[in-house]
Amino acid sequence: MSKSDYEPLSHLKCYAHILKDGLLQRIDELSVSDYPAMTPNQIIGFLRDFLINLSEVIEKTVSEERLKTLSSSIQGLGIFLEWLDNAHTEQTPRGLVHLLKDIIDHLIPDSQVIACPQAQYNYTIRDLGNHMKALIEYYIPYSKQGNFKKYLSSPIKLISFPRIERDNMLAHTIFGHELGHPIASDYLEAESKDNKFQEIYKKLQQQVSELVDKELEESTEDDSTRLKITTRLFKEILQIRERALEELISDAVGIFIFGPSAFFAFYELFWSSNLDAKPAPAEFYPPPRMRMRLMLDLVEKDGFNNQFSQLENNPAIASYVKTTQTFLENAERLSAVKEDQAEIESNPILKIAYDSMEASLPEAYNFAKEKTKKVSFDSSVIFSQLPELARRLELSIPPNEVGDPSNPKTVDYRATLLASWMFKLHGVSPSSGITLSSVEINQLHKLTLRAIEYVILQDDYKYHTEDKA
Amino acid sequence: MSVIGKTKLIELLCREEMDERLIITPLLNRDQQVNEASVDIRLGNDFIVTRRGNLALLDPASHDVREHRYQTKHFVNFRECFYLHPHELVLAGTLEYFRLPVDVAATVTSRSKWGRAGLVIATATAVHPGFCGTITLELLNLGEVPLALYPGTSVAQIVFYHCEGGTPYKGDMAHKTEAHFSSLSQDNKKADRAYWLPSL
Repeated sequence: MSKSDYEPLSHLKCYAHILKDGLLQRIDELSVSDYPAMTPNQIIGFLRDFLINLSEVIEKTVSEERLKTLSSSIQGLGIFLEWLDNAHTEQTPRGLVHLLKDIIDHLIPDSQVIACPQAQYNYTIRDLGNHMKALIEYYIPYSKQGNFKKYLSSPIKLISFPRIERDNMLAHTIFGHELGHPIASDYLEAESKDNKFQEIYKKLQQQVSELVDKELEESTEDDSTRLKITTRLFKEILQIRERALEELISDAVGIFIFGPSAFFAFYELFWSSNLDAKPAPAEFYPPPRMRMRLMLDLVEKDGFNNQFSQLENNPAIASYVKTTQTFLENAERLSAVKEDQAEIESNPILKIAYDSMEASLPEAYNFAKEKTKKVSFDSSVIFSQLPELARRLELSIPPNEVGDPSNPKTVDYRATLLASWMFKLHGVSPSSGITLSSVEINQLHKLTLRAIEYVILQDDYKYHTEDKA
Repeated sequence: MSVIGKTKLIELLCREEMDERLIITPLLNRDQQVNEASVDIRLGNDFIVTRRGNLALLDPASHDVREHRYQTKHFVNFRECFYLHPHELVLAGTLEYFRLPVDVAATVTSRSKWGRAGLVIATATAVHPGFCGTITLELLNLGEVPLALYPGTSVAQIVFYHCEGGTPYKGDMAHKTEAHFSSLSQDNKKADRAYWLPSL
């Protein structure tokens, strides 16, 4: 090779280095931002160490294909910039981070949390730790993987929420649903290992065979075609059943953790969608009306309606209770329409899947309830805190404490959220006599966020100062 | 008008009716925070710093350019610090949220320890009866060395007075939950601005 020959390998290496250096530089720029918790800084440290190690990997790589893969992976890591750039305190309410970390810690101890807004109107919780682990396992030589243990010793969760709702703490109760997804996965995994599932499986197989026989009664399809159709339908039915259970268990977890507030947030999230939308590929979401109906059932079964009734005669909160009750009655009326069920009944595939799902649902709910025991919504405590919290909101005081003013008691932040929801529902109803403007509702969001920050600080302060004493 | 002393302060904090009560929340350590005739207040997490290069001047007669262009907000976590350099002015919110009853007014002032280190806490110190919200402190380092400020530390104190004939404050500073910069060119209370200021 003469001195001036073009060398693709060298060009690829140079390109990978430029990408890596560019990413390192952007990460350094982000490291000066203020973050509401330590996790983003730890991720920055991880990425920095990863890219420094990757430099050596790039240098030693002699395969063009491998270098192309490396470059493409570095490009893919650009998404971390978006997450980190949005995770700083001007974009992410710190109260939200601390609230979710507090709940996640009870479900998955010692978790790390990074939260950031996103352009899409969507709430998600993703397992970032596993993604980071995969990067190390795939790209970093085994001898050096141990250096990354300090970053990956605890689970890391990436929480995303719609940017447009950033300051709306009340809407963020929808995260109860997102926290339910890993629990739903655990249930489905446990179910698949249970003998009972074999019975469910057999029954579904039999129902699918009968369905195919019936549909192809007069057809001349051969056995192989029949088998193909049966297998395809069976897979689809299993998927529909699984997806319905995933979403419905997650909805239930929302109620178990956040109580009625989870339903209020769900209602606002779904009211503009088609309530009777049939489960459709590829997500197979259950119809919103069915979800609403089942959540309302849980609100009733968990005694929340009864708790509201007990507050009816408390003058401090009676008017708020009245509006909340009429809101729930309105939702009951909406859920009493059975068009979603009729849609499912009329479709034999959906019917088989949903009949099977419904048979498993009570057990799935019990499983979810058990898993959320440590963070369950304690209505006996929370409802008793509501009257005073409502009064605080009337006076524009953060709803963070109640009781004897000489020794006030920090409330459960779920009480803060529920009181704020009731205050909002009351304020958007002209018949209540007090109509809140959108500016005042925004103020309510800020007070709620402040109160949650105070509750978490007060508990932490008490824990540490009493511990030292 | 008289300064309210410790026993009366405690009575105010414990008034039966919430709307007549002096609210300071969270009062994390009441025994240590309520002094002989004042209450120690803590530094919050939010700081507003001016980016001089982006700001021509502040003139009530001209419309402000977008505040975000010349202000940087810093959030400082607990156990982390903010360095206030000599002759630098920053705004910072109090950790505590206040609600004063209509028969009480207050002034915010430095704590002696910090004052002697050069820290001036507030230049506009009056808190009106009926005020509700966190208080924005104007922190100025008049000393010769940088000061390390930690959120949660008590850098200021608030002195309360009985106020007769007060009406609830409804101005621009009310209902804030974090440090707040109030635009000079938007003063809702001064309807006669056009008379005093040159037209653009």
